[in-house]
Amino acid sequence: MPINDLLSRNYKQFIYLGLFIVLSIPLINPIGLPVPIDQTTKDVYNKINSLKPGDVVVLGSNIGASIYAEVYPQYIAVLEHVFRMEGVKVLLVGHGVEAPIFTEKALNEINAYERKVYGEDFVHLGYIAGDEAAIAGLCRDIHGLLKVDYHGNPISELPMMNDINDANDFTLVIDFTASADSQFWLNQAYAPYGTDVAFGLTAVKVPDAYAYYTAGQIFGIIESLKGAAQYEILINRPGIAAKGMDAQSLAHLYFIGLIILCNVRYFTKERVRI
Amino acid sequence: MKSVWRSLTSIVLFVSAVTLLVDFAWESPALQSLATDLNNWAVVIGAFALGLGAYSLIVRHSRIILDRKQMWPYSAVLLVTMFIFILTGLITGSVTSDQYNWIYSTIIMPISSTLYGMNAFFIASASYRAFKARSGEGLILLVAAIFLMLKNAPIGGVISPVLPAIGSVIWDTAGATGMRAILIGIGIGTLSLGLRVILGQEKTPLGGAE
Repeated sequence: MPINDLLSRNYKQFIYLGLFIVLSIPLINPIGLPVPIDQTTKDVYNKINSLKPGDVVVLGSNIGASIYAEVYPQYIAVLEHVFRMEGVKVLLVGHGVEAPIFTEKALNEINAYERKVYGEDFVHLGYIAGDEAAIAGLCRDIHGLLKVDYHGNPISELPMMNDINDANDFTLVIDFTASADSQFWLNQAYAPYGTDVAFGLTAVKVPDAYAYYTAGQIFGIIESLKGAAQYEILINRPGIAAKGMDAQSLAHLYFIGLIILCNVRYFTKERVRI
Repeated sequence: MKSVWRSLTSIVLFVSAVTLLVDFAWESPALQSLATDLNNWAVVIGAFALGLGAYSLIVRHSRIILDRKQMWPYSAVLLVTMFIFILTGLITGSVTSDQYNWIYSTIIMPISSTLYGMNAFFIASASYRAFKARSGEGLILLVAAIFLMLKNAPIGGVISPVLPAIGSVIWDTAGATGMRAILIGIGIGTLSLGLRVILGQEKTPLGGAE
């Protein structure tokens, strides 16, 4: 049977099987394609590298199970990098109900509680409801907005929080999301206080953030799994993202092949029929 | 009575919005304190909205189950799962407990990740079915998509450094410019909607139009 007929009859099964094979091979046997580093990722890395003791980094997160594969590797890579910076304070905030679960998972994965002192070097505020109003509240007056952290400790009793009151005390903010909360940080931290802001995003969210990047309103973007892989390479901690890049490359090639095949069929058969 | 209530809420809305706007532009400790309080109330209302959402979900799906409407077992699954989570949180006293995390990481996470991962298969199928160069515009879209895919995957640079470079040009010029125009449009739209709300012209936030 000609391949054309075969494809037109059972094309879905063949396409799915093809993708499964294309994704499986590099995961079982990595090819090790070189991963070029984008300037957007390099800018985030350089900014964190330039931090001084006493600086405060806010890591916002709206990571949920659905975007885990794309955004969590970025989050953990940046968290690891920030934790390597001596004397830098880290404030962790959740903008989605699932976010604190992943924040705790990331903290445990990098052994944060053993490496640094909770309350002195880092604080997890947990999920704060209210979307933009919550971010505005954090930027205006943290102590007025929140009384306890994620673990139920009074914020006023955490030594690190004595010097952190509003966005004037944030050195930089990096938000990891697929939602609008990245925009909220721009509205509430960058515009009124001039706080440096960067994003870690899913691929579909990158185009609108890129407009802000080229305008100089955000200092960097970690773009989906690709950005996570680049960041892992930059901090010399290859993880799940770097491993996934080979599979992503082959999948993209596979999609391009399908698009070409689709058009070859269209111009040779369907169009002639019309 | 309804019009009095509307007028009152309009006044509250106007005063709150103007307070926040003036606070943004003009530094005054008294105004800042008032604006911070207003903002914190919004956060509290947001937290209450979560409870309201849960209540509404329970009522709606309970009705579906009681009336035995089409696909009611899904509503039952939703409610059972919801109560298992609530009870686990209440019994263990924390959403950080091992039991709570176990349910999340062994049930919710694999299901959500699988659903999200299935997108790749749909994209593959769509690439074969729908991405046809039926017109000049379609051809431009198709060629741009191929170059952007090769820009975003390391394999593009491995095949030829020219491919991601072309992708970058498309991204930096057509992509960023088009997106900036859309964002400016959204900004102007948001501004005009905000003004309508502040001036009481937009009735939706006050309980719907006449």
